[in-house]
Amino acid sequence: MKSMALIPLLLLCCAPLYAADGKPADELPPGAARETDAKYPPVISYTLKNGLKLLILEKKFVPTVSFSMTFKVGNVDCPSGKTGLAHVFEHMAFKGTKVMNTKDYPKEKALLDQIETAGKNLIAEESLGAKADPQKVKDLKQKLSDLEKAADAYSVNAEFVSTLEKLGANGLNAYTSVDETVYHMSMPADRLEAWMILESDRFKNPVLREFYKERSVIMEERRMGEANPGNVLFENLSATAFSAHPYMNPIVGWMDDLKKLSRTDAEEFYATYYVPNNATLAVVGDVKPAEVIRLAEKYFAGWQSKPLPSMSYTAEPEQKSEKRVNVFFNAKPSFYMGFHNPGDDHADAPALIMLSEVLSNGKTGRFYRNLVEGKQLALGAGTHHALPGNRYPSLFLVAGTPKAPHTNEELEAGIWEEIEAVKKAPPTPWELEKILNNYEVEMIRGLESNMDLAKGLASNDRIKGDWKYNWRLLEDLKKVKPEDVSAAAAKYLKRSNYTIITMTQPAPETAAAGKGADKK
Amino acid sequence: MINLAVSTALAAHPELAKFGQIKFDAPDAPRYALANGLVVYIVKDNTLPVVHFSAYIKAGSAYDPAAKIGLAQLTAPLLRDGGTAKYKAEDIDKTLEYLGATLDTGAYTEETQAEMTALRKDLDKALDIYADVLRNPAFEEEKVKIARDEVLELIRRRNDSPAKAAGREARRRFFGPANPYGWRNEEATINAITRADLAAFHAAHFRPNNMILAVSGDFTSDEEALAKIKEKFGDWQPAEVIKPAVPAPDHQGGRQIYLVDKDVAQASIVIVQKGVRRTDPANDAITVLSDILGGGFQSRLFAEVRTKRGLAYSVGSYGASLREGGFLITSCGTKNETYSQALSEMLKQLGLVGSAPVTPEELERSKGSTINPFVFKFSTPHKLAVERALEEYYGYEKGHLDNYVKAISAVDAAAAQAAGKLFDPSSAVIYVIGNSKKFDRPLSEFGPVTELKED
Repeated sequence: MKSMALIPLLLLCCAPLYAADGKPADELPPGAARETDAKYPPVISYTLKNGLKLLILEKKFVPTVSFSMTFKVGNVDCPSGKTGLAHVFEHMAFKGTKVMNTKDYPKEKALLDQIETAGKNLIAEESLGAKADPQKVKDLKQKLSDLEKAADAYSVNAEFVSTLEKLGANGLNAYTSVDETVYHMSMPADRLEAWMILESDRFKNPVLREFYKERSVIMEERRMGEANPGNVLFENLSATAFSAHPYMNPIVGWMDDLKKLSRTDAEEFYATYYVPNNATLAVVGDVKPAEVIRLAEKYFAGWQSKPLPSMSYTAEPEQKSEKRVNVFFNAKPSFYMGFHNPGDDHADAPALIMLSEVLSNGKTGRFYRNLVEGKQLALGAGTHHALPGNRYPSLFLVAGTPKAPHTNEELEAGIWEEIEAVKKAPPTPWELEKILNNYEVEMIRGLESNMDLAKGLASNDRIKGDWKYNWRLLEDLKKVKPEDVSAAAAKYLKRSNYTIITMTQPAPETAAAGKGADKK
Repeated sequence: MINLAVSTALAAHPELAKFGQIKFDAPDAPRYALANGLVVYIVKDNTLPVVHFSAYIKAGSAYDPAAKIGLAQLTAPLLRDGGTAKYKAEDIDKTLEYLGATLDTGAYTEETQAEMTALRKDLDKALDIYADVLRNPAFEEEKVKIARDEVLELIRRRNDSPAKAAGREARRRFFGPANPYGWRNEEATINAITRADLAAFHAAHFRPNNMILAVSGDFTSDEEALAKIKEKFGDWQPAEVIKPAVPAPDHQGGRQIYLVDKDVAQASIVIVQKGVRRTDPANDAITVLSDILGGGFQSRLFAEVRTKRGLAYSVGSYGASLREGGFLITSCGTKNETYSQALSEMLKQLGLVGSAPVTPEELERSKGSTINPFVFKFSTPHKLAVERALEEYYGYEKGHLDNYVKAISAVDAAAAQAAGKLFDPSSAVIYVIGNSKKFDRPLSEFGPVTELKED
């Protein structure tokens, strides 16, 4: 196929996506800047004195607005021995404030303090392990449970969430990654101020009630993951490939750490990282930017900023040997491979992204063409250039699922053949053009959903330091030459930089315990 | 008329008093019908240089022959992946992927869906492929083999996730072997499907009078879009389409309990009960009631099983309505050691919805959180086109969407409680995958247990 000019973004030749509100930009308060380069959406940036960054995009279809409040804090920032704490706090951020979810906060608080003492005593006793006194543990559990029941009398179940949902919230949720914690929802557009009222209260005055019960909920969330093959593979891959950097830890936390987390830990975590200078709020939809800024000033200006701790962690030392682990699990075979990457800020990152796409983009990608079709070894095979995160160097991931009678070993060999082939012969211009075309279409389609836009703007601003990151990356991807892709494959996808976790079913004798199919 | 002011939170935030019920009327989408019976909903929107097409064809797995279960599911991806009269499979992949266009086809219980998205500048190329995929699939031999092998591999892997397996098997036990709503693919039924079966299934169901098209995006006018659709689909011949009857669910009453004893990190509990068909007038009350029972953070199940007892991360219930009947699913994942506490509480709450009154707070919360986010059904031009197309496709009366808010508003406490009688726990199918050695109480305490082998 003849080489084709890249698809221009075309935004100029269409009717405006972004409503012009008819007011001149100078109606915005001083300090607010509207993006004027037509390459980008006309996002308005504004930073409150306390450091809270606002990104606002006016966009009209039906009257809705989407919010993404993104904090640069994730599992990577959890103190040693307290993995999962970032995610635990995210759960606690749905538990109300000094005025929400409570009937009488002063009385409730007295009980919450007693609960915390009881909880800490229980943790201390249980931490003795084999030396713990079983009767004491039992008594402490009973005490904790009695106090929790007493405190329940003063709480209003789910009032914070219920109020938002009654107002019309849609997609109200949050997620925690290794890098960030994101609180998001959409609302009917005329609820802008209601969101400001409730969310500013949430982040300024959270009360971490029901902590120990919610910790049990999170332990169930962990068990749910332990029953999921993909999750088990990924947890093993992170824990094996990383030997020093905190990307080795599961986001949900290690069970033993969860058992030892106290409400005090979560409060300290909140006090350290949930500060306005660590957050970006993106607001996208049928709103007036000046009004968003006015309301944000009104409700969020009283939130105190605070210097953040260093976010420098033990750098992962260079891997020098192949790491290979087989996990026994009651599921059909599959595997994850990981290769340390140099991080998204490194000059090789764009070539690694292109490499990832050459291997697994669509049905014309090499894995599908040669391994799913072609040799027919695989049910599927995929790649991602950077997991679990982007703030620090992470892993170039390859996932493989063999198709019976083919085995993990055969598919692993098939994938290595594809990797070696890219090293030897650069990808064709057609392959790279296809990837760039797809990227550009994704950029355009990314503008369709208010929620996706809000999440992307806030996350790129807070984590990458630039809401225009996706556009910048596109320019970098266009500069990648076919030989750069081969060079990146040779440099990073090599045996000494390689970890593989395979999953196979346990041998029959170990499987017999509790396996229904084996007894009757 | 009910008061949707957020009363409970007013003491905390008096400023919230001004937010009442949203006034929002469902937007309309122009409807066009071709002479061959093809109905098209078009929402022109020029904000982005993109076009979207969604086709809904009444060709779901509910229409599989009993000896060839999986026929719809095997046909759907091969419409695209198996090439067409005009395009070889490889050319479809190359052309679409180079343009960044997507064309995905998949079968569900009652329909096959075909979704296409392309840049406006590529519309003619992509639409020509899309039409040929729907009209003239070639089912290339080699591609049929790959698709079949993929389904067979998925059968081998169907019990890898216990939570998914429990949901599927509970539904299967509830509907029984004669009802296609509960069927699952089997190696024998997949191997029984020939290339000729695929072609015959396509010929029988893929007709312009048996589908609806939702179209949106960057057209100069509705007329332009319509002209392009007529050009590609106008000469497609209609034909009578015979729908096989769907028998009543096998499970008519009485509690049935099934156990798969398996060493899993977390027990999966699924409860299936009888629901109603999609167009049943009781659905509005069921919507409100099932939301009160298990629809979110504030629901009774969430509050009792998760928030108050910390027994589960995932717990909830929802109602699913199909053309010929529906079902209600209540599910939970909980550690083996506390499974009986979770199951007891689930059954208790299922019993209470039919017998205990719905409180005014619950009613207000449920209706508010159903009515006020209604606008999000229409949050993009394509969602609007699809909502309007589905309103007709699923056989709702004209105006169903327009009257939805009024209908939900009209549900009172008595109607919601009456709907709760459907959740009678004494007539539930209960399916548990868990490690019985770790169970705190034997499952037989809940009734006679049929132990099953995973297969």
